[in-house]
Amino acid sequence: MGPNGYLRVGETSQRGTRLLLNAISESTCPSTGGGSRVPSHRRDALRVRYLYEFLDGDARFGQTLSYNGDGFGPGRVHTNADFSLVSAWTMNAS
Amino acid sequence: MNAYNIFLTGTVGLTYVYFNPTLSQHGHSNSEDFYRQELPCSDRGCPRRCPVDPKASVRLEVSGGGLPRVDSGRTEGGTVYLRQINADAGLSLAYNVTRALQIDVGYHYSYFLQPRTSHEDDNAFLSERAGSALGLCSASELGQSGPSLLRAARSISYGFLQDPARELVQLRSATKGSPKRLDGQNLAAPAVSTEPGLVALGPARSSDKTLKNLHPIFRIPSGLASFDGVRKRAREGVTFRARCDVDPLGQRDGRVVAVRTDIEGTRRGVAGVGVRGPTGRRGGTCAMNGPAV
Repeated sequence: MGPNGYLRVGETSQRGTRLLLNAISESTCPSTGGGSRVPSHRRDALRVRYLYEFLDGDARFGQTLSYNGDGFGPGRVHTNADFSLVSAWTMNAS
Repeated sequence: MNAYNIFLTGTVGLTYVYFNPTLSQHGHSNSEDFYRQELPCSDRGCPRRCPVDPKASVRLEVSGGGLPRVDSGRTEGGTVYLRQINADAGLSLAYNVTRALQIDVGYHYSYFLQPRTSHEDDNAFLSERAGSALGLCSASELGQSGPSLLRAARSISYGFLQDPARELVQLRSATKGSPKRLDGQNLAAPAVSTEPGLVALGPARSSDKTLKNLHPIFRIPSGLASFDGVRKRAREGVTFRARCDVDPLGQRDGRVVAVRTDIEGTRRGVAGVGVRGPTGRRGGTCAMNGPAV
């Protein structure tokens, strides 16, 4: 199942077009990630996680898109909105 | 772990996002550098783990964090204000395929919202994803609720260095060559190198560089932290004993009723363990599952 949501990038007075994520990435790609735990104490551990979400693909638009003050389309537009997230937290077990 | 065998844990941390979306068409591209205005965002979680079987457990994990509308400290046509909400929830069944490998299958939901505004910009990004999730955890990831992790991690260190005094002697005899374990394996490239999570288990408190390098995961008792310490304690008539990690073998009503330890010097695990302590039954014997190390 692909992601839901949107991306909007506007510049100055030109409001950006709301690009739906399930429209800009035609192919459904899973998110992937990895993590590791570093035990720091008998009951605590530092946990690090890396998540990479693929939001990459081509889509055809029938109207001009406004993105960051620029115009794209109509026609086929390639979007690369890959998204990565790094988390680090401590964990306490009770 | 409470009376219902549910592991309760809490997490506190930070989240940082890298996002640089780019649109391109006919060789022309434009990107917006969200990452330049990112700030680490606080993240709190509350995972639960409920064992349903010696090898399986059900996990429920909820975590989230956010930032109110704050000044990001950057300017782009004026002050850039940032807001962020992130949340994750998951329900899964974890199964220990082996002592070092766990498969996690379940459902996961994630939500991420980040509006960013300035006098010049009006940007927003919302990502909402839900679906099945599949995870593979190595030994360092086993038992995400803590105690199980420690058991898994210690079982490795137990198999790797179960007799520090004997290995110290062995290392001393091999100071000029590549140090070997008694069974001939190279200590300079131990199995732990594939498990970075274990590195901080107990760094050797030693000024000896060799020991520091070769015993990254093992807690060397104070006084034995160097070869000189070993020699001095030996002169005093101290008998060195192996430090054996103890793995709870069975539990009844949350109490450990028996432990499995190494038969010192034999490098073998025990085949059967007599049950000690008030278990409600007498004369019982537990057969040990899992490989002898």
